[in-house]
Amino acid sequence: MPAMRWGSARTPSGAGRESVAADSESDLFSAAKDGDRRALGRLLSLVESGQPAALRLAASVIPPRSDDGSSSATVFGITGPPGVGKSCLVDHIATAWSEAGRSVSVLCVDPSSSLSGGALLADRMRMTESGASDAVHVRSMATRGVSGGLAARIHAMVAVLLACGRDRLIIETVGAGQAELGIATLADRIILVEGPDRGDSIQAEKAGISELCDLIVVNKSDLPGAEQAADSLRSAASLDSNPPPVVLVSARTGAGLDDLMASLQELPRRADATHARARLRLLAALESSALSDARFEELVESMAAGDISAAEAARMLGQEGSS
Amino acid sequence: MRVVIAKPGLDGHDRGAKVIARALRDAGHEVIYTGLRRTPEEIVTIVEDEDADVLGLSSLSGAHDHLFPRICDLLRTRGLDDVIVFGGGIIPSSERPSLHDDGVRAIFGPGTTTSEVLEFLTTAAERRDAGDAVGVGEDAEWRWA
Repeated sequence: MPAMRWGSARTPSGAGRESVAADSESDLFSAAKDGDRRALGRLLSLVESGQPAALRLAASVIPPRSDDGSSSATVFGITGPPGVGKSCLVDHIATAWSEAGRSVSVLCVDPSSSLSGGALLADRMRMTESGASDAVHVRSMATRGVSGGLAARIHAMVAVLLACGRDRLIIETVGAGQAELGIATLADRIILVEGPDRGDSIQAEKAGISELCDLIVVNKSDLPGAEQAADSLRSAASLDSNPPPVVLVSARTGAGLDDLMASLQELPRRADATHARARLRLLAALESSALSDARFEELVESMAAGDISAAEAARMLGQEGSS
Repeated sequence: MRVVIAKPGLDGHDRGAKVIARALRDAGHEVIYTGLRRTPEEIVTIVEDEDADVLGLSSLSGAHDHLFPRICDLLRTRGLDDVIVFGGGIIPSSERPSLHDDGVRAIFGPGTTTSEVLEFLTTAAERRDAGDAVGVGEDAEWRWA
């Protein structure tokens, strides 16, 4: 059985668009910086597919990121359970910022099928407001085997977007709360979106992204249960020394959206989350390095065949060797 | 491949488009679905921003004869000549040749199996890799029969 080829379903030769001789990545980068959206799209594809020259270029433009919260907010992560209305809110926020003169890019992340390697990327269906003009740039991405709700190479893609002059980035990912913490390694500010069907208040107190987020938005305020959900989140949050604000909105009716935009304006980073975020960044870096290791897929095959155990495979990856 | 499935025009139903989208995902493609009632300009911007290899256009209510050629022209104007375009939905056979001449490489009507669509995509990808004309801006002679 062949190793997983994410999103490829390529021809038998395995060739794809990125192998076709085309503009060099530095030509694409210059054009993208000048506002050429097609070049930007092509360059992001090269980075996403792991093309070495493109990754080197991305590494060369990565801006220094401090973990002490002092960097001004440029990259906003929007996460939350499926179905709460993240995409509608992202649509509104991106449009509002774009109308205020910002150049905005949105990266929407959806899960890859672990069976087929494919993905159905449907977040941009909801982005009708930002889609009506082409001012907001939107790119859909599949997770391609990476855990934590983020996509492989997304850090490199973010670096490229910032270097091309996009001044606000929104990353939209599914976050069910306890496992999808990858956004904490990437975003300057994390917004957790919840909906009215929150279940009992114990749910609201579980650890996970709710400990790391800088703002909680309860959407669908026009539906019953939204006020109670907001109250239970506020009371859970108040047990923290630095609770995040909780805002109630309805993306559909527009209620509370002005308050949301005002909250985003000067949103401070949550104090006390620095250590936890650094820990997550290290884990993400380890995972990324394991996935980039040339032996990774072989080891998966050996495990699937019952030849070695997961612990043995991990030990082999941990040793110095090819990568 | 990265495939955009788009609904230009005013159709209110998208079950067919969603069936195709899921089948493509299950075959390993990354599929971006645009949702209903997109304008040609929006669809072409989506193809550009998503750096799509393929664009599938679905039309049930007769918008194909005006909108499919418009979208093909816009793709060419924006320099997206290598994008592979196919169509589906309710498109009478008599109207297909002219769509093919406009750059739509395959048209799938009701009753098409998902495996036929997948076969078309594999064949189209092979043509592209071999350097044969298959994009919307390339020689329009080849079409899926």
